[in-house]
Amino acid sequence: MTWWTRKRREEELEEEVHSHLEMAARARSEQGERAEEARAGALREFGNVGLVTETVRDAWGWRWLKDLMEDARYGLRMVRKTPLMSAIIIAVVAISIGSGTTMYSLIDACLRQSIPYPVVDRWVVVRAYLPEKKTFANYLSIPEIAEVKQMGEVFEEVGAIHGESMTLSGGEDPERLLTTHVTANAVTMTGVLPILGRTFRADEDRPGGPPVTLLSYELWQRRFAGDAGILGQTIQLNNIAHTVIGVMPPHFGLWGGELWVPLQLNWANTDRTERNNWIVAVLRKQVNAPQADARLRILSKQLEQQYGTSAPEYHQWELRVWNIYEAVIGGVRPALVALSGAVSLLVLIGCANVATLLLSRMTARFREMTIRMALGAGRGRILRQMLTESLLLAGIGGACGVLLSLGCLPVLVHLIPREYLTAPPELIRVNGLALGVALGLSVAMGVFFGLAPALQMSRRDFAAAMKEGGQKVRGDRHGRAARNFFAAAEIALSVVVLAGASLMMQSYRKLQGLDLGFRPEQLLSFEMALPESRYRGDSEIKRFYERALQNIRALPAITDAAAVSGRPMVDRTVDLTTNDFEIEGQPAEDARGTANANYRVITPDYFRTMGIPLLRGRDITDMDGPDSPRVAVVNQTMARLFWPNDDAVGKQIRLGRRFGRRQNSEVDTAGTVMTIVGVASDAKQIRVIDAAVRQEFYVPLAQRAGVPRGMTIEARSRLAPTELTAAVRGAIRALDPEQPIFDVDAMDKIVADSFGPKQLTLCLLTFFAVVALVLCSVGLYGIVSYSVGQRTQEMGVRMAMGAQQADVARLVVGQGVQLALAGLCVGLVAAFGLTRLLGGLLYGVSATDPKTFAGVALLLLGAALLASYVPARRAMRVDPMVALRYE
Amino acid sequence: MKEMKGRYQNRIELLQGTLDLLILQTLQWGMQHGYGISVAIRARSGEILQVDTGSLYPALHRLEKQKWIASEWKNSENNQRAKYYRLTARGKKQLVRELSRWEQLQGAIAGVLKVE
Repeated sequence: MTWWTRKRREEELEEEVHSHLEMAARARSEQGERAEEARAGALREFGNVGLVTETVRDAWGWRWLKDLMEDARYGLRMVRKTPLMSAIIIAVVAISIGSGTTMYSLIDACLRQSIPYPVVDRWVVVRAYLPEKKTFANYLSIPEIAEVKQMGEVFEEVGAIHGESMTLSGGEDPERLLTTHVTANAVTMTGVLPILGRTFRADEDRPGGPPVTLLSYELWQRRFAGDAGILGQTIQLNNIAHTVIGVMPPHFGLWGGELWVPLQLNWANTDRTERNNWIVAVLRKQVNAPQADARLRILSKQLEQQYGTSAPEYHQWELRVWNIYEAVIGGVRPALVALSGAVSLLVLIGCANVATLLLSRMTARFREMTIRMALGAGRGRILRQMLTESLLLAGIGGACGVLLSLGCLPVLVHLIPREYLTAPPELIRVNGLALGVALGLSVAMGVFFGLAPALQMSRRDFAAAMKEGGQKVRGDRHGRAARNFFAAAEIALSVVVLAGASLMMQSYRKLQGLDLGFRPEQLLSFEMALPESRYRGDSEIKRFYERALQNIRALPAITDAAAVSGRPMVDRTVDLTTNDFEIEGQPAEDARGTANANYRVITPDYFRTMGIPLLRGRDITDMDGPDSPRVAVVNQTMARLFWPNDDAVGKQIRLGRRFGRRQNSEVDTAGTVMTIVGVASDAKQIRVIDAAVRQEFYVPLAQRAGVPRGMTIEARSRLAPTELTAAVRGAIRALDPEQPIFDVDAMDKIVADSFGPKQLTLCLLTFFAVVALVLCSVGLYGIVSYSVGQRTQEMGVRMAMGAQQADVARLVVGQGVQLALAGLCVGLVAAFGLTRLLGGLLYGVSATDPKTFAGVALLLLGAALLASYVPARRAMRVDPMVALRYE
Repeated sequence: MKEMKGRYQNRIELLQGTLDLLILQTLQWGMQHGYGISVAIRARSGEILQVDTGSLYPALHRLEKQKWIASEWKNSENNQRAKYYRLTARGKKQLVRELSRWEQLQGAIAGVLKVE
């Protein structure tokens, strides 16, 4: 039924009634009645024209449509009539729906899209738990990998994997690429197929197998312009020609690699200390993680019995599976959970806010509704009208929220540095489910808060209400209770969000103020890796670094330069290179178990360059050459742990087994005896800044056998470090034009980056906290100012009876403060319970820090005072005469 | 007013079948407008049955919707433009059905009353 036919039918109906009346009047006048009398008689006989036509329209069967249009039109008029109130409601709905949808989409994408593999649910890492060190060892040796591989009843596939950088040269500038070395099955087990070519064959994954490589889609596009002809061609990786055999689809990103090469493990290798690879595996469909752990425990026990005497690290060790989600995004998860918690609270605050506003709005129109009812509007009709109105508001708000989220998400994703997003940015879109839930929520809000006052109203005897004179809405007890409840709930929820945010803020500040143990300012840092093809052995590598450092020191703005085997603060959560040692003159294993410490290989001047203070003894110098006695510098923690009552300087240690990845030769350093010549202050080395510094010793590059090929060069400058990049590059090129330097960065930026995810979480949480504060202030303001409006007459009476302005103000503000206090009490209790969940994210501040809680309470109380003060001013200005005449 | 409207609706409810029957029967003698129908029913019932406009017009529109009657605009004998209703073929069949149902009902009620 179109609008047009409907309109014509309305006209026809009108004409039909008109003709009926005309004919009836004519009949009467024919019987002798006067014209007006006849007309009046006809009309009387006909009855209520409006009602008859209304009943006829009912018979047409589409009255609801007309009513709906009318309600909508009326609703829109009401929305326009109270623009501020409507705008606030719409804005609140939009903000809560918008931010909720945006954050949920972001978080969901980061959790779900991070690993786009079909087998992701059954994909695990197998790692060892070392109860003595209370840590996990992720890297395992070849015989251990082979033993796990035997467990066919648990795992469908078992593969090995490790990441390493390789230099791609030829053509353009040499480039350092993240390369993942994989067993052939590690690629196939993901269930992802290449978009071009094939994956590795078993015969390519053998020691001495052909050098082949699989490219990532991203590298293929960037470096080879998506040329399909790349298949079968060779590229230079570490100066060795590798044949390209395939290209993986976008976002494959296995172990962060830009390209993949076969691991070519030598399964005959039985060295259990050479732990270079992670184990990745796919669980059998019917096996769950605890079952797999139980089977692995049996294997661990067997290995401990078999090799325990020669391998003390097997003592009580336990192999366990680690869900890949945990492995890849486990570190980000607490922050994401905290953020989604905050967002959910924010949405709840928004709901409570809209509830109070809509309830106030509807109740304020009680009189209007009463009149409408008296004029014959059915109860259902009124209900429907209020519903349409609140749905209209919620709907507009919801739509604005969706638009807001569609607009904000790309901006947000753009603002967040790429490395903090676990999912590819182009896959982070507004989530359909989130949108649906958000819209559903806004509709539900509209329905609930439209119905509540209407139902309440129709419960009431409206005739009595009319007699009371409309503005006496004292009977509005349910309404007031509901509004007060929602306002208090809002404040309670805000306490939780604010407390969480301020705890995060404090721990962030504590972290930032933390002493790193070195001075990151004006320090340029970059990495190098010398390929085997041009730098065969230790002496070539040592000579290169020596000359490179000479060239760099010769640059005008450089004051100091040194090389180190492990860059501080890089993306590492555990230090991997450790060495067992014995203290000369003490039994190998005392109460502390096997002595083990991290180690770094350094060049002279390292401590001066880094700005790490030497506490005792001396620095490593040029005098500590290959022919002089072996020396080492230990950090403060090591000195304190192993020589608690004695001076570490002058003591000797004998090196034991070496752990972690080996970059170079098989040279065994075990048995070397070194004299400690100095104690350096503790310096933070890993990205987990809040972790305690582990015991560590530094050995001179010149005295080391089997030196690392990759070193980090640190250069302290008088200028902004990044201005020196070109000069440093030039200094290296002068030595070897084919040798790239990479990851060139200012150390203070590296440090700042390590704060990145925390800072991001903090920024978002702060944003939520501010929104929460604004929302609950607006809510409170709405309630108090509504009640001031309702009580204008009462205020007038009070003032006429001699109440001072201050008394009135106290009355109004008191109401707001009462609500705030009720909310604060509940909120503080809730926050007390909920902030504990933040535990892992906090540093240096207790999850239930009383000072923080008090501060939040004061802040909210202040906001409540302000929110009630504004309407209180209005109440104070009430002119008693005007108020009394207001009836 | 709400109550008034309810009363109208109640009466339609009560008279529904009967009013429909009366309208269809009246239209059997030729097309007629709403006023004419109400006059005819009143006259034929010996002024006993007063058809309420609040029942008549909704009934007319309902019957039209069910396609038992059709309408057209025509000028009356007094040159008054009016909406005339006439019985359709389906309406005639419906009239037959309604009549037989009415007779059944009458018989049934009579039977009940006799037993009393």
